[in-house]
Amino acid sequence: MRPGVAIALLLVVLLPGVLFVASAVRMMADREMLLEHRLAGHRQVTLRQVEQPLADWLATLGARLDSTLGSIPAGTDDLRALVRTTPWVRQALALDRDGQRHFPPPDEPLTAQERDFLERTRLLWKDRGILYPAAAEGQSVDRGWYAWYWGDEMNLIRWVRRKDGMLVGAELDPARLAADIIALLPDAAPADALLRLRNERGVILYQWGADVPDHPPAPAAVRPLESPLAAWRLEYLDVAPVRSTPPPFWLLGVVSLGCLLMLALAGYLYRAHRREVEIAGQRVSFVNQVSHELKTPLTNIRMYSELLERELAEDEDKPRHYLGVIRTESERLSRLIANVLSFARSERSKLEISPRPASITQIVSGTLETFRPVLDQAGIEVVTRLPDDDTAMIDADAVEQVLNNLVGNVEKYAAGGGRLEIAASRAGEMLEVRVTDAGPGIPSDQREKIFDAFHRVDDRLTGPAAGTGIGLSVARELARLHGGDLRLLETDEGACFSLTLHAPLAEADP
Amino acid sequence: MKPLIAFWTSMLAIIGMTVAAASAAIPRDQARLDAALGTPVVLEGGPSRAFVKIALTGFEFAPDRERAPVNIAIVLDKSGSMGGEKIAHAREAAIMAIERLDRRDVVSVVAYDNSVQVLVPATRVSDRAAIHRAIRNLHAGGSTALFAGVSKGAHELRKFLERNRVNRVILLSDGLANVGPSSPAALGNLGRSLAKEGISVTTIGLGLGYNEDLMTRLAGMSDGNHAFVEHPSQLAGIFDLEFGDVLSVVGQEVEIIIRCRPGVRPIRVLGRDAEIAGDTVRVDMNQIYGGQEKFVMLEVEVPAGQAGEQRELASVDASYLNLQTQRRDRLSRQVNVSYTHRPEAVQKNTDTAVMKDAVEQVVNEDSKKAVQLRDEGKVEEAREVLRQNAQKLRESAGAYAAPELETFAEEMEADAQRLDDREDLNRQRKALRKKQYEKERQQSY
Repeated sequence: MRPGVAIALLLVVLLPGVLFVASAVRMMADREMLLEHRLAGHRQVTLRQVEQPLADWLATLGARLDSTLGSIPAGTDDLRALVRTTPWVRQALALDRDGQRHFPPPDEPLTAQERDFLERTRLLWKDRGILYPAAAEGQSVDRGWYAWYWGDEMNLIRWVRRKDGMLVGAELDPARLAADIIALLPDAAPADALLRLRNERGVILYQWGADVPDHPPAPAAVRPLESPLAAWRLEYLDVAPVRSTPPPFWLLGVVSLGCLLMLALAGYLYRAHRREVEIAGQRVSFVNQVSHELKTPLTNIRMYSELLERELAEDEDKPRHYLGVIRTESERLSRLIANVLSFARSERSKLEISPRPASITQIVSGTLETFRPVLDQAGIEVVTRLPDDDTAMIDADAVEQVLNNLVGNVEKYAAGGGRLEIAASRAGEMLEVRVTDAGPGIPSDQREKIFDAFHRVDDRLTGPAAGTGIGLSVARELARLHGGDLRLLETDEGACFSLTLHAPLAEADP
Repeated sequence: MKPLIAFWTSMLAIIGMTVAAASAAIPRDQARLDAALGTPVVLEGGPSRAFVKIALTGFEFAPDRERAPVNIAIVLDKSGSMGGEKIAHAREAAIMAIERLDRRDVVSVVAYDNSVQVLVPATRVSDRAAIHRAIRNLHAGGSTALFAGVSKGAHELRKFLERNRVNRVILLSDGLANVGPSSPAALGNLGRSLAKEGISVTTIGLGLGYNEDLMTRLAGMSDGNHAFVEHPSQLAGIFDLEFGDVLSVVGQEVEIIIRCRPGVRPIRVLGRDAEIAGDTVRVDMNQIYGGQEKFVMLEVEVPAGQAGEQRELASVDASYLNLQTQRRDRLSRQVNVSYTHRPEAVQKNTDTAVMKDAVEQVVNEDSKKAVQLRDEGKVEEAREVLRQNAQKLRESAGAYAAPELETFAEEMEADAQRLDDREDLNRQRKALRKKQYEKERQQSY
C-alpha cells in the first residue's frame, strides 16, 4: 500500500479518535470542577445549617437579657440576686446616668467575685466610652454586645441603656456560653466529614462527624459565627479522600463504541483499498500475461515468414511482396505489444533499464532498416547524421523502443511532410538523438499533454486519432529511467523530439 | 358523772398536748438547723477569733412517702485509655446502678472521646433492656473531650429539669481532658453555672491519669461528690454509693444567710464557697441528704466586750425546697456570745463538738497548702506543714476529747512520711485531694 494512503488512513482513524477522547477527558474535567464547586457549595450550606441555630440562640439570649436588664431594679440586692440565679450570667454591672459606677457598688463592701470582676474590666472603668460604640448621626444606640480579652480569654457583656438613664449590663460566663453552644451542636454529621468549632484562641471546643484521623487535614471550608462570637469559627474537614465519582458508564460506553467504530471503518477502508489494489494488480498482471501470450505466436509468425522468404526464388515478386507486408505488420504488432508491456510494467513500477555497451549509430540504423518499407511506402525521405561508432552504456532495447515510437508517430501523423531526420550527438556523458519531421507539428496547447498516457491528438484533418495513446508516455518513461528525458522542442514547422540519454562511454564487448 | 367526764377530758387534753409537744420537738418532715459557737463564752477584752458552725441535717422521708424522683445523666469517658477492663467495669457499674431507679426516674447516658455520643437520650427508666443494650455498645478509643461530655450531659438533664427532681450529672473520667476547655477554672465556672440551675456534677476519677484539680473544682463549684477509684473493679461500689446519695436527697436549693451584728466581722468560711459582702455571709448548697449533716464553718472576729456582757453575734436564716412537701421551709437561729473574765468559764462552756469540726476544717485547709508546696518541689516544707497539722490535731484531740482527731493526726503523719516517694506521688496527690474534698464537704463516702 502506498505510504501516502497508509498515512491518510491512519489519520482518518486517529484524528477523530483523538478528538473524541480529548473531548471526553475535557468533559470529565469539567464534571470534576462542577462537582468540586457543588461540594464547596454543599460544605458552605452544611456550615450555614449548623451555624443558624447558634445565631438564633444567641439572638434569643440577647433578647432575654435585654428584657431582664431593661426591667430589673438596679439595687445591689436585686443585681446580686440576678447573678445568683441566672446560670449564664457571671457578673452584673450598672452605670448611672452620669456614667458613674453604680454596681458593683462603689461604697459598699464587695464580694470576692465582684472584686475579680472589677479587675477583669479594668480598662472599662478607665473609659466607660469603650462600652458602647460612637453613636452615628441622629442615631442612638441603646443596647449591644461588648467583647474584650482578659488574658487570652474572650469575655462578653450584654448592656442596655434604659429609659431611666441607667446602663445595666450582664457579663456572660464564658464556660457556660461554650457549654450551651456545644449542647446545640449535633452528634451526627456526614461520615466523610469532620466538623469542628474553635473558639477565639483556636481551642477546639467541640467536634463531631467522622473519626478524627491522626493527622487531620487543613479545613476545606471555614465559617465564622455571627457577631459577637465572630472570633469563633466552624470548620469543615474532608477526612475521607474525596473520591472523584467514576465517569458515567454511558460516557465510557460511547467513547469505546466510537473507537471501535473508527477501527472498523479503518479496517473496512483498508480491506477495500487492498481489494482495489489487488484487482488493479490482477488487471496489470493480466495485461502482462496477455502480452507475453501474444509475443510467442508473433515471434513464430516472424520466424516462419523469414524462413518462407528464404525459400522463395528471386523472381517471385508477388509472394515476396506479400511476405513483406506480413513481416511489416507483425513488426508493428510487436512494437505495439512491447509498448503495452512496458506501459504495464511502468504502472507497476517494474520497468527497468539495463545499460550495456552498445553503439547508438547501430541502434538508429537498425531501427530505420526495420521501418524502411513503411517509410518508403509513405513517401518519407530519411536523412541521418550520426557520429562515429562510439561504444557507450546503452540499453539498446529501450532506446530502440523509444525510436520505434518516435518514428512510428512520424509515419502515422507526419507522413505529409515527406521528410524524417535523425541526428545523434554527444555531450559529455549524455547522448542526444533528435528526430525531426516536416509534418503539421503539434498545437501549443497539446505540447505537454501528448506525453500523458492514453492521450491522442485529434486532428480532424486526417481523421480520428490513431494509435493507443501510450507510446510517448512509455518513451518518456524509458528515457527518464535511462537518466535522460524526452522533450518536444519548439520549432516553426513540423515537430522535433529530443531524446537525451545518460550513456557514458564504455569498452566494447569483447 | 361530772368528775368522770372532767377526768377523761383532762386526760385527753394531756395526751393531746403531749403528742403535739412530741411532734413539735421531733419534726418528722423538716430539716434541723443548728447554729453554735465553738466558744460561746469568750474572755473579756478582745477582739478575738471564734468559729460558728451552722449545720443542716436532712430529715428522713416518712415511710409512707416516696422518695423524690431523680434525673441523672451518666457521662462516661470512652477515650482510648479506658479500653479493656476499665470500660467493661464502667459499663457494668452504670447498668447495676440504674437498677436502683424506677419508672419515676429519668436517666441519660452520654459517652465522650474526641467527640460526644449520646448513647441514651434522657428517658424515663421504663425500657431497661434498651438502656442496657445502648450502654453495652460502648467501646473505647480516641481522646478526651471532657468539657463537651459534661455540656451534653447537662443538656440531656435539661430535658426533664424540674425543681422537685434531684438533677445530677455523674462524670467518669480516667484521663486528661485534651479536647476543649481543660483548665480547672473553666470547669469550675461551668460547675458554678450548672449549680444555679440546680444541677450538681459528681466527678469520679478512675486510675491515675485524670486531673484531680479539675475534677474537684468541677464537683466543688456544683456541689457534687468526688471519688478517686484506683481499680476498675471498685467502680460498681462507688456508683452504688453515689446513687445511694442521690436517692436520699430530701431538700434542694439550700440558702444559708448569716447576718453578723455590728462589730462582728466575718473572716472566712472554711471548706465551701461563700459570698461575703460586708457583714453578710451567704452560702448556697444544691441539696441536703436524709440523715446527713452538712455544715458551714464560719470564722468570725468577735468584738471587744466587757465581762458579764452578752450580745447577739449573728442571725442565721436557712431555707430550702422541701422535696417531701414541695414547699420552701425557712428556719432561723440566733447565735449569742457572752464575755467573762475567768478562763475556766471559757473552758467549761467550750462546745467540743463544734471545735473538733473547726479544727478539722482548719487543718484540712492547711494541708491544701502542703499539696501546693509539694507541687513546687518544696518537699521538706510541705512535710513540715503536715507535721505541724498533725501536732495541732493531737493537741486538739486531747483538749476536745475527740478520738477522731487522733486518727486524723495519724493519717496526716503517714501522708507526711510518704510525701517524698516520687513514684507514688501521683496516687498520693489524688488520694489527698479526695480526702480533703470529703472532709470539707462532709461527703458521705
